[in-house]
Amino acid sequence: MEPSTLARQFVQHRDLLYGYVFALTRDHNLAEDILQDVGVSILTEAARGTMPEHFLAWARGLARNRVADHYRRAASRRQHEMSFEQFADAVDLAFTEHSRTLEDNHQQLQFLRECVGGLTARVRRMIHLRYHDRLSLDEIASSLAWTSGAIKVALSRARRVLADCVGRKLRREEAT
Amino acid sequence: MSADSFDELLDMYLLGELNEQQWAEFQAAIATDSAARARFVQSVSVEAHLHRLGASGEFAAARASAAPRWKLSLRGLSRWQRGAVAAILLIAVTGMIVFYALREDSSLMGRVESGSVLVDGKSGDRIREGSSVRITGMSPAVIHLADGSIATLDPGTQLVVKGREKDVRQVIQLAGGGGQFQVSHGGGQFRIDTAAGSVTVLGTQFTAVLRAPGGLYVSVTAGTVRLDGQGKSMTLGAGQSGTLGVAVNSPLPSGVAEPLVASGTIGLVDSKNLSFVLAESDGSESRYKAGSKTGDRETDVFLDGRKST
Repeated sequence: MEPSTLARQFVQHRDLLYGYVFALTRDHNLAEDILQDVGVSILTEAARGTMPEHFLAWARGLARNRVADHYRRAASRRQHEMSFEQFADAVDLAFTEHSRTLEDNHQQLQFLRECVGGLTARVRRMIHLRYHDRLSLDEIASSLAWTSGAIKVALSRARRVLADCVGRKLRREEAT
Repeated sequence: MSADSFDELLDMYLLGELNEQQWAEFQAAIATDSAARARFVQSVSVEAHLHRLGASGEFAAARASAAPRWKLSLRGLSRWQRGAVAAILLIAVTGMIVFYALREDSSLMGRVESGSVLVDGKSGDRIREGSSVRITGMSPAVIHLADGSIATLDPGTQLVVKGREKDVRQVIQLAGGGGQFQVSHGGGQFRIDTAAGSVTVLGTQFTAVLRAPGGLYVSVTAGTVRLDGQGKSMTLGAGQSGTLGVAVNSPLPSGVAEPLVASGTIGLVDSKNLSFVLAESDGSESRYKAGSKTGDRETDVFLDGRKST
């Protein structure tokens, strides 16, 4: 495998790897930073001539190590979340089981766009404030004159509706 | 565990609100229940994609279309009631006009914080979308961009701030010169285009030094950037540097003087001949004279970035 092939695969699967790192960290800023390090590691390995047989499994391993490194350094990590390896095993299993669906990133994004389009205007506004303006729940509540609790419930509901909607479209696509 | 109970835990996980017992239940569900794993993967995937679409500005249209719609009907109102409504509307419209007139222009892309800068050929500190910027002073100029990024530009630098282009939140066309760019965290990609190639920020934050035209030299001190151009593409991490076009040590473009930078303690000052002795850190002493000629180049002396008189 050529080094440029590894770089291309990284770019191709960047979103999937981001989702994996986010699943382990649930922090968008941290996930971005870690993915950036993973990208550099992949390119370094490519320059060394590393040729993984299964790119995604190999890249997920690199990402997992980076997250583990981060948690080892972060003294603030809560004690009950220290069983990282056990959790990471479960997340690995989940991503391996659903790798075929996850790999079609382009289609998932397209379905998500369609599903967001089907939300009410108020919910779309909330989504915009959360994911574009990156406001906290309190800031969104203040902006929309809602309570923080109402925003939390509405966001959870919206995420669930979107996950169901994308899942439905994917299953329909697979059936055809 | 029921699907609803797991969804509840999943929401709490995403918000970082799981307590010790809930965390154990959540972890056990993912480890043992394939339906829970499917739900987990679906949810984090949607969350990651929402984050990506948000960063690329795709929800901006949703925001615009989310503006409230309403209809005003004057039917059934008496004449004085209609007059009152008209007066209220007049006041409201006047207020809005004043508000928008005083409000910051949305096309504002940045501000000059320090340095001598020509914006669209005139001296100014407001940079709008499409503005051409030229650093005219002899010391670097600092520009704060609307997305929070900071550019410290070398004297003689010329660029155009192009603003958003599709997925890229900020595009800068660098025509000559260069500088250091500190790109703010998040909000999508940041790209610098030059004749030799382009630099794209892949990660969250970086500092790069560019030299153009003729060749593009990028040195990354933090974060990751991608260089594209002339059929090449490379990704640089912290501590790495790369070039596109010509070698790093190529001569500067004609008309651009390489500044001599020296530091030390000023000793003897001859005010009559505008000269002084500089005791440099290595123990040597050098005499500098303002306004002297070195080859075809007139030498000016700058102390702490200001021209010395």
